[in-house]
Amino acid sequence: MTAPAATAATADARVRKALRGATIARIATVTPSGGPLIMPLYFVVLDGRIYMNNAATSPTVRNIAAHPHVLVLLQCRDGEVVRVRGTARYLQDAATMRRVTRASLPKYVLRPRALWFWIRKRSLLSARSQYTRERPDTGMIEVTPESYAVAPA
Amino acid sequence: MDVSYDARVKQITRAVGLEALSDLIEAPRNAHLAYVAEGAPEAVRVAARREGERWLVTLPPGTSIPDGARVVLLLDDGEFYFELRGVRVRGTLRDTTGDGTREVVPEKIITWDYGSMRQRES
Repeated sequence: MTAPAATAATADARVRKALRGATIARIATVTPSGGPLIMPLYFVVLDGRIYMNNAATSPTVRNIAAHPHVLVLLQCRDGEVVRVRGTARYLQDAATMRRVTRASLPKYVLRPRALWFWIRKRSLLSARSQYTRERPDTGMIEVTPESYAVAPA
Repeated sequence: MDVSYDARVKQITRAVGLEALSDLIEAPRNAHLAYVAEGAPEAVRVAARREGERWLVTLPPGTSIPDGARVVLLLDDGEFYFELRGVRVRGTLRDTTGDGTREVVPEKIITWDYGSMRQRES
């Protein structure tokens, strides 16, 4: 399926299912020297765009500054993969970050299995807190989808 | 070969040795191979396994990646924060087996396991 200027609202049911149900996005980018990179990241969808938290110093962010065209793979629980091609940019504005954080909480934190992990791994919370403090330059990769394709499981 | 355990980290590390990820490496549930096709990023799900020091992948039907292409093999697992872990192998794709299986000859390997987050040993 090709959907120029597509949004989540115009995507077909399988795409909507992936945007809603997948928990990990794998984003493929091109390095400044023309090589490949792929990273798994958390994501949320807001207003038809895909947002992924990432540090400003990350290789993926470096790559999209040089080559903004990206490929995002979203895998559903049934194994079906939705491929999203789009254009990415890096944002650090507080208002969007707050929206992304609010959308991320019910998806990644306020769920029984997530909470179980937080409790089970509570001895790591101080290390996690320090890990976050050591990366104060966090922002978001924003991907504006341009086309979607669905690959079978 | 440069085996880096994420040089970006400061006091806290999430990096682990490959042996700590042996189950993930031996039977990865999620394996993807990224490459560049005509200047654009491309990635496909692959079947991957490690035999000794060799990283082997089977490409999906219809996928054509030239011998010698620069690739990144990603094996990752987990859904929630402290279960996220993975291996990223950057290297070159080679046809060394003669049976259709391709080999990723590694140049750099990065590992992570958020469930092993800890103070870096000095």
